Amino acid sequence: MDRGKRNFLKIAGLTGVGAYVGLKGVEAIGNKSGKAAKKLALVIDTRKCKGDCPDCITACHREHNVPEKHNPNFKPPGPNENQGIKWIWTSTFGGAFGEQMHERTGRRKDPLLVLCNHCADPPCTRVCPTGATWKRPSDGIVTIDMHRCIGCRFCMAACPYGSRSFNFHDPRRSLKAVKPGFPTRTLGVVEKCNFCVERLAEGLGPACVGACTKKAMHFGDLNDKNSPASKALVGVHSITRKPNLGTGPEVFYVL
Amino acid sequence: MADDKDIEKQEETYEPKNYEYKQTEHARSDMPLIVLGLLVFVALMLGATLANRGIGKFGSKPVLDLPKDEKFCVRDVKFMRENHMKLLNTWRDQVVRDGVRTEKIPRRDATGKILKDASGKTVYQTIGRSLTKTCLRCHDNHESFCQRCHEYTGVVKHGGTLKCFQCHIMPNPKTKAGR
Repeated sequence: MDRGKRNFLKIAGLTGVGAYVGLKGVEAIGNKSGKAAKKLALVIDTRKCKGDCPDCITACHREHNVPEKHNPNFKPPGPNENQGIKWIWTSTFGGAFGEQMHERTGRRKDPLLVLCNHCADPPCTRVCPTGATWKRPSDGIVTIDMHRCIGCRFCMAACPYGSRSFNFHDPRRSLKAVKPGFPTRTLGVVEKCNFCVERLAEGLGPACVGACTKKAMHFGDLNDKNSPASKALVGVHSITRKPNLGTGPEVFYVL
Repeated sequence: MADDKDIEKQEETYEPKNYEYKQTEHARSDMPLIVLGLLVFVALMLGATLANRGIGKFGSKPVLDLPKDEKFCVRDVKFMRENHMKLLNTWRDQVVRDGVRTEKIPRRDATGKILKDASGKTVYQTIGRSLTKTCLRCHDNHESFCQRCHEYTGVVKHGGTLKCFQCHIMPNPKTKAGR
């Protein structure tokens, strides 16, 4: 066989075409089997939310059997009050957006709602040694499998937002009323906001969004232009927490 | 031959000392103690057997509190008795890891026969893959169903709690579990 340049180019060209057709075919099969991936996000309008009412926090923590710090019934059994559990809580403006402040930002004293950012590239899921936490490919929720969590707390160290809490104590000791529809956690596992994954499966929205009387929270799919979250981000200035870290938070704050 | 002589010499040189073994003059027999110990042993064993005599027959089964409203489980009884943990573990992985929360099972009539539509196809019903919302909705008496059998089979010690129920909330017989 002639090993000339002409033959080489022929084979190279055919290989390229074959590879392209093959990859397209695989892609088409992959798209057929699954729906288009969602990009769930939460938009908090700080013009409306002043962080002064506990509605969303109470609703979330009651929904998910979280021993509540703000609840008078909650008494952390340990000596350290930082051992409490939080899914959604209030921070200061400077605490949440420290690197985005300058001396003329103005002193904003309202408490700011913070929760798990369900990052596009979450550092917490990378460090998990058991695969107990991962980002769901279908909708982007960063979720935890409590059955697999061994409580090593690597994810807590990796999360730059402090969104994860550890169960230093049996949570049932601090819960006065237990809601039977959602499991409590057990001693020695890490937990955080799950974007109400169990409510989304039933067609309900997140508990915090539903509980907000000021309509300051908007939840939806950012890939869908007509979702409440997408609409809430049109024509306004919005920021995320610690964008310099490249985690790609999916919780947006409208200023 | 010279070697043999050497060995004999060595044996002579290593002659063991002559210990004296004194015998006690009034050697006490251990027999009464042995008999006493045996009697105590037999009494204890017999006592345990006799104490349990009235409690149950050999091979007795625990009496379980079965749901009154529902007649049929998501699988047949034999499968559930042997494999309910396999089913629950599969459900757990499918719900938590894959997000598939429901499944279809054949619908049955009052006699347990699988229902078929006019064209002869099986009629299915959708159920949730949930311990609390599906299993425990019918099996709502934890003490006289889950716990009683788990104690009988030695899955938990008497009065112990199965690890599932450290997180998954045990239904109260008065209030049905689930939303």
